[in-house]
Amino acid sequence: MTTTPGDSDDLGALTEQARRALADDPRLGQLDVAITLRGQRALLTGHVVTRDRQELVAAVVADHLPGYAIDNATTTLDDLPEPPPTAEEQLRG
Amino acid sequence: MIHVAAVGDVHFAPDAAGTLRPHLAHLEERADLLLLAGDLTRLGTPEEARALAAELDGIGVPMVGVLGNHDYHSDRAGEVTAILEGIGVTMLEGGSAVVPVHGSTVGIAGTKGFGGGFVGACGSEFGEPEMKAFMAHSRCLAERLEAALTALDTDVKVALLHYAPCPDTLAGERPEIYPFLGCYLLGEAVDRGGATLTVHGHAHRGTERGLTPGGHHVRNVAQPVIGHAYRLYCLHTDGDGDPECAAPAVQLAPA
Repeated sequence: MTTTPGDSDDLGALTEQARRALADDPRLGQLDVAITLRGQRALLTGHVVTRDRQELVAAVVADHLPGYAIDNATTTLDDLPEPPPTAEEQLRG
Repeated sequence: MIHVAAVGDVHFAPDAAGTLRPHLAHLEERADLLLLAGDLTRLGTPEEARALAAELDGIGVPMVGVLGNHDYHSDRAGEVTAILEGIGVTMLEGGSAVVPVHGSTVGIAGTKGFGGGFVGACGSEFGEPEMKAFMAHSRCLAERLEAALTALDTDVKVALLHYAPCPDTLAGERPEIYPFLGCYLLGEAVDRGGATLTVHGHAHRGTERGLTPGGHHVRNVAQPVIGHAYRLYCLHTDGDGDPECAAPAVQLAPA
């Protein structure tokens, strides 16, 4: 997609509206999901806690970015591996 | 040796019930205490705090926490604090706690901290009342942290924060928002008060490891950064010459 400076400003405003919606939605309060627009796709990255919130994030962004396909690459607590059984660092004061 | 588990930014709420507890199943075998570095809830409601309390209740290790900015969002921070204290979490804001561990003592001084930025790009108490209030809040919390650290007379000292005390652990975040992620005053407080380890959260896109300007170890334990339910650190007390910790990934020089 070819963009002019004006187009870029519009895309930036759209992205910001979607980002603000994620923060303001009382079901989410999500401040740190990054939204990257490439062509007609919106890539979502960052960490949310649950799979339900992950789906909700995509739905909220889709509402604010009509016509964009959503690639939801956010991670959830379910995706985190088991913590290592031993300390990974030793620190001395 | 003291094994400290730490995590921040769990952003818990009832919709996450049951997701955290399984990750804590072996914590008692691995850690002597658990530090919670703020943003414990999604929007700072009592319901969310109760959901987290249900996950943490009875995990078998002492817990010490601070609140984060999310925990203040609903203006019910006092209730959130009380609910967590109700299951035995020692919640700190400008104070300290001492935890005995295997005949040693670990002192934890904690505060949420606040923003303000770092050397070369920071705010000051100048101009509008709102700006003065912003920076005065940051300074006040840093001063309390320094006083609490200085007053600790323990084998090991830890600073527990939500906001960052140095820019190192913010690497990965947009530099434009650093002033909203931490403040140099916290780093100065740690350097003057002394701490073997400082942990913080808040910067989800940051980097785990950093140093204060004075060379004290800082770790960003925001859950999205560490990629686990918690991170485990092994702290050596003075004269502790028998490192039993298995397979450390990194050996760090004394601060």
